Amino acid sequence: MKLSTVFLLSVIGLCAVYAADVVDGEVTDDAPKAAQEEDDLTIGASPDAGLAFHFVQPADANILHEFYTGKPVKFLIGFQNKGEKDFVVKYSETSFRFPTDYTYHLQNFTRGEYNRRVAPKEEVTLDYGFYAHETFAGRPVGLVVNVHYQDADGNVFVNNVFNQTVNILEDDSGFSGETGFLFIFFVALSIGGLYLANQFLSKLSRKSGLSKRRVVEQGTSSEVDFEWIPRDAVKNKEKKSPVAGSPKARKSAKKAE
Amino acid sequence: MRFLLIALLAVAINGADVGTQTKDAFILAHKQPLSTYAVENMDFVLEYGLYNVGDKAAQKVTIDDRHSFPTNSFEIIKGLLHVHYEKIPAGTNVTHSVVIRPRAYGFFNYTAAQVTYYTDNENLHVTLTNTPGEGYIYKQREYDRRFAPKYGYFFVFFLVVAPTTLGSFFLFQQSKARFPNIVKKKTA
Repeated sequence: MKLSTVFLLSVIGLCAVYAADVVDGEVTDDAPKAAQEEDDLTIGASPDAGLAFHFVQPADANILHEFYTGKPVKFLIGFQNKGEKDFVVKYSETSFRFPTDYTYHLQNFTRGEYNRRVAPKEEVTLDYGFYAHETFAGRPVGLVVNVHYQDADGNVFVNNVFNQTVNILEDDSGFSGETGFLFIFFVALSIGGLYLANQFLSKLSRKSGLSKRRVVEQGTSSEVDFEWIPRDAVKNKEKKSPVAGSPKARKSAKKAE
Repeated sequence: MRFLLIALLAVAINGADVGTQTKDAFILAHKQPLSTYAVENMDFVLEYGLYNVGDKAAQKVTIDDRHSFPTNSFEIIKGLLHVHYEKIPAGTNVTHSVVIRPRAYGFFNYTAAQVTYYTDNENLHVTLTNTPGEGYIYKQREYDRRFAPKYGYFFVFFLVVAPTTLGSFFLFQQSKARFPNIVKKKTA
């Protein structure tokens, strides 16, 4: 009886361990898949295809390898079919990589879909453009451009046309709202300062007697233009003016009498 | 096995290297519209760029884009759709622009222009430019509604606000004209 229960428990335990192994196995299964995906990029080029790469915008990017953020970067890819069979250029993929580790993708750009057939002894030019985001400003990044194409038999080829570190610079040529408003604020502040200084200086000069004789206001002249005043108001003026003092004081004065 | 792997790697590297290397002349032809909007009966500017990225000069270079702008739907205002350059040296570029005017509105597919050139005076190369793709040619009225100066709208607006602005101004003028003497006295 005891022996059988021990046996049963051991069987259950084994099953559990096996199940756990299966779960572990799933994790280890993923690794080769990822590796396969990475391997896709090392398919390589066809000997019958000639490729060229050229930056159009900015014009000096071909030599300097520098881009500005917020400005379009455009490049051309030339594809030359030197073989006897048709090629179909499927798409280009552009990505930013970490400069010290090119397997680490910083940003993948939208693929440039072409699907263009290139007949033997023919060439085709393809274009692509992107913007470098502000967050990359002042940093070097690895720019990788791969072109994917197929031959008539359906063999897939990948050709790397650009694989270098580029510098991304901050675009400081344009008008920045922040500095613009700061400038306007300083202009306003200086105008206010000038006004205050003018006031202060004119006061000083008055005190030192440099200014003209001061005209002293002595109220309006006694000559009243009666044309403006309604008749009844003029008559009222001739009446006796009311007794001075508050009504309360007058009341108390009456009581006292 | 290891040797085979190394050999494969060497072939792959060599292949990749050869892939982007060009010893001959290699022209990249670029076609792009410079105008933001294509509008019927309004100028539309196109630019063609030829970049020789090879190591030798390209000879007898021609751009032919007559097939992509048929004259029944486009009017050529300035420039030629068929140009010839005797020579484009290595590492240089040429741009060419054409002004055309669409005759009708609607969707239009901008296709590739054809560029031919010779390397070493004998090898003919045929290149197609990139395709700008499908674009919309705006109706004149549609474009005017969005971008034209709206003088008519301003005139109607002035008519609408005239009772409150001009009317009150005339009323003020009238009441001011009633008391000319008093104003003179005060200033005197």
